[in-house]
Amino acid sequence: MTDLTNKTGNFSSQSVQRLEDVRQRPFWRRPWVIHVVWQMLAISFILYVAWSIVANVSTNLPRSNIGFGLDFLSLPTRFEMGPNYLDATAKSPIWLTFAVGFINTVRVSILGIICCTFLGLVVALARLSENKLVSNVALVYTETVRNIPLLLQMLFWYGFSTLLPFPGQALNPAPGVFVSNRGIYMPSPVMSPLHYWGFVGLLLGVVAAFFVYRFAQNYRKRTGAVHKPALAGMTALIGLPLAMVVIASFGMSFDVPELKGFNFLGGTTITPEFVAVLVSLSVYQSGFAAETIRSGIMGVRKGQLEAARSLGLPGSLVLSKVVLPQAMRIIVPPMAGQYMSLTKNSSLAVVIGYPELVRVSTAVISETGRAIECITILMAIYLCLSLLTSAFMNWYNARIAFVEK
Amino acid sequence: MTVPMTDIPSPPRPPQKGLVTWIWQNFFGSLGNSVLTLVILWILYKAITGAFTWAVLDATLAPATIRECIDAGGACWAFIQDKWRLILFGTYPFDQQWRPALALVLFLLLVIATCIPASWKTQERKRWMFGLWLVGILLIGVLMSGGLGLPHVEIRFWSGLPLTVLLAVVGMAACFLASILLALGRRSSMPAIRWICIVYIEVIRGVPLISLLFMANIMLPLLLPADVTIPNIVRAQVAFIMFFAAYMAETVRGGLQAVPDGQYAAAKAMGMGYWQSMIYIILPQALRITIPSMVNLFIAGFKDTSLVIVISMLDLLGTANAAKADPEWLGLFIEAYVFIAAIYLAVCASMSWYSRRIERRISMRQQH
Repeated sequence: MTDLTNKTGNFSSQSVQRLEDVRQRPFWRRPWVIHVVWQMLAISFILYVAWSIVANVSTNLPRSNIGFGLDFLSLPTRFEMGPNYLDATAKSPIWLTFAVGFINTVRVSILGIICCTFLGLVVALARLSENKLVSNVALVYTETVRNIPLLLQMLFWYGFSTLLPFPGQALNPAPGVFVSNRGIYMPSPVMSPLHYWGFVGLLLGVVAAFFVYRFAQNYRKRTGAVHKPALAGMTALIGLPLAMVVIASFGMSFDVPELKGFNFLGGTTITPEFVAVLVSLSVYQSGFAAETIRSGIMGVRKGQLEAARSLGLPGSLVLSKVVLPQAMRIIVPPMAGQYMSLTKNSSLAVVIGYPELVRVSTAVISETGRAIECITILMAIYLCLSLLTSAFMNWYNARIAFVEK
Repeated sequence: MTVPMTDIPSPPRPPQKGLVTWIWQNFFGSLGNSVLTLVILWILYKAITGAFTWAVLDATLAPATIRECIDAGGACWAFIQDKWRLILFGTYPFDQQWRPALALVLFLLLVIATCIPASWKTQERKRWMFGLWLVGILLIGVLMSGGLGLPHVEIRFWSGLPLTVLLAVVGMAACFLASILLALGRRSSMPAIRWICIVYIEVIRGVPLISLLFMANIMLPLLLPADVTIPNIVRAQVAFIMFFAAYMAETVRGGLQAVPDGQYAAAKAMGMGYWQSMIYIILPQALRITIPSMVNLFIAGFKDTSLVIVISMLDLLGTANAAKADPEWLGLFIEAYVFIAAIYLAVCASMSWYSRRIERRISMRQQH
């Protein structure tokens, strides 16, 4: 016993001693001095790296006869991009080619996001199924697609296009539709001014549907009675544009692809690169999306479900008003990260030659030698996309966050 | 007092169900369920018989030419039999390829030994494990590059599976250290250091790995002094480390945040300084909970090594591409891709199985 008290006594006197030590530490061991020194070191290291990069670049560039600056963006591209939305050709300026690459990246990413979400939802529901067969098939699917590199999957799907016949012997599964190793060719409607009325109708329909739902909501809040908005909303959303399209379709003509020389001309073309990128991205990411959705739905506490049922809510309302809103809170943040990684993963399409941002950058680099500028532009665009996504997610998260009362 | 132990009634067992009832309830409980089961069964039947016909019944084994393969209509395993050493070991000298094979086996054994929890039970076993790893790494290095009577093989000839494993393992080991520093920096109370880490992590996480690889391959020579040349493999490795360190740092940060504040306070109360409390108190706890996410990152890293083909390095995917480019076997690609996909799948699926096991162990420990 005496030993113990002695020890405690010693300990406390020691710690008092230590406290005094801190106050009387030599100058270079005081916390604030250490902080300042560390930060100075870090900043000077960064500055040194930046300075040596600038110094090396300014000696290396003149020697290799490559200019520096963004002036090259207005030079002609000097390579063909293939058919694109902006009608960029080999004569268009380089910045337009970058815009085409950007559009292609965004296009395949958005389509990929839609497909992978849908596929992922189906697989997630399958994994949650009571049917053991269904849930095990879904398990094998997610484990397989997640554990094979995306690049390998992309090359695999792309490889199949080489098995298709040349344009000369193209398959013709439907009138006007041709399938060859250069892509799928389909007739495209020739745009007439009347068609724009179809889009106007769609726009009007969306606005009208919005107001119908607003009215129904207010009506319910005021009177408590349910005003079914679905029918009126659907009529506005589908009926209006449909009517417009029907009107517009008088005198509509199709541009049918035709074999001219070694390739088809006219109509719209879906390239094998695009199909391979879209399929592999959607399949690969759907495995991850499925896991996220599944864990989100499983994360809703059982009591919530039981409470909703005991209130007598019908099954559809239990799902839409109780389970999904809570599951969304768990699902949305990781899902946003996955959408972002899908967008970044679309850069792998450079390997099979889909003309997205990275492909455009590498082509421009080999044409002009402006590696520093091109890679900086490339990184800046992706960085902006990801910052935009995370800003949107923060806003969305704040909106759906649980409000404690 | 005298109640014999055997008289204590055991808890009631759930009523035994027959196999037929079980199948009936699980697969044919309702009309929708039955339809679903039948549809899935039909699809499975079609897929399995189709795959079996392609891979076994119609397949062609060596010796065969590509013509015979195409005529048979199934898988051309003769192609793989001809090319498997190229796919696995790439440009490594042909008569020396037993060396990378042995190195891979050695590495696999080391990993298996490490993954068994029993080998970390006592202090003595831990010391043994570190010794084993040291000896193992030395042996692997000698096997791969030469020495001790083995002819020297330059690093640029290393390719195929050994290169993939090397990129992944060295990359992740270096990432581990870098990510701890980054994560600690991001939680530091020093604003300059904190902001440097935040900007680094967020910028890297915002750009694709491919852009870093291009940077390392095309841009780096312009950024370095003209007389400095760095081998391809090192540049790819550095880009790889830079990329995954940012992701791993976020994982480590999650672990650091999960350590209760009391632990930090207790370490301080013991009179520990910053590094002491981190190394002995905080990090061991933080890293333990991040093991499952670390394994997931490792899986991602192992898969993403395949990206080095964009800077024309021959990893496992690169050698498969090289094999299918052989004019003698032109037009065959499915066999080569299925072969390497099986390798990737086996490695990644076993890692993900292991991570799920650890996760279960950790959650069990937390419940008790």
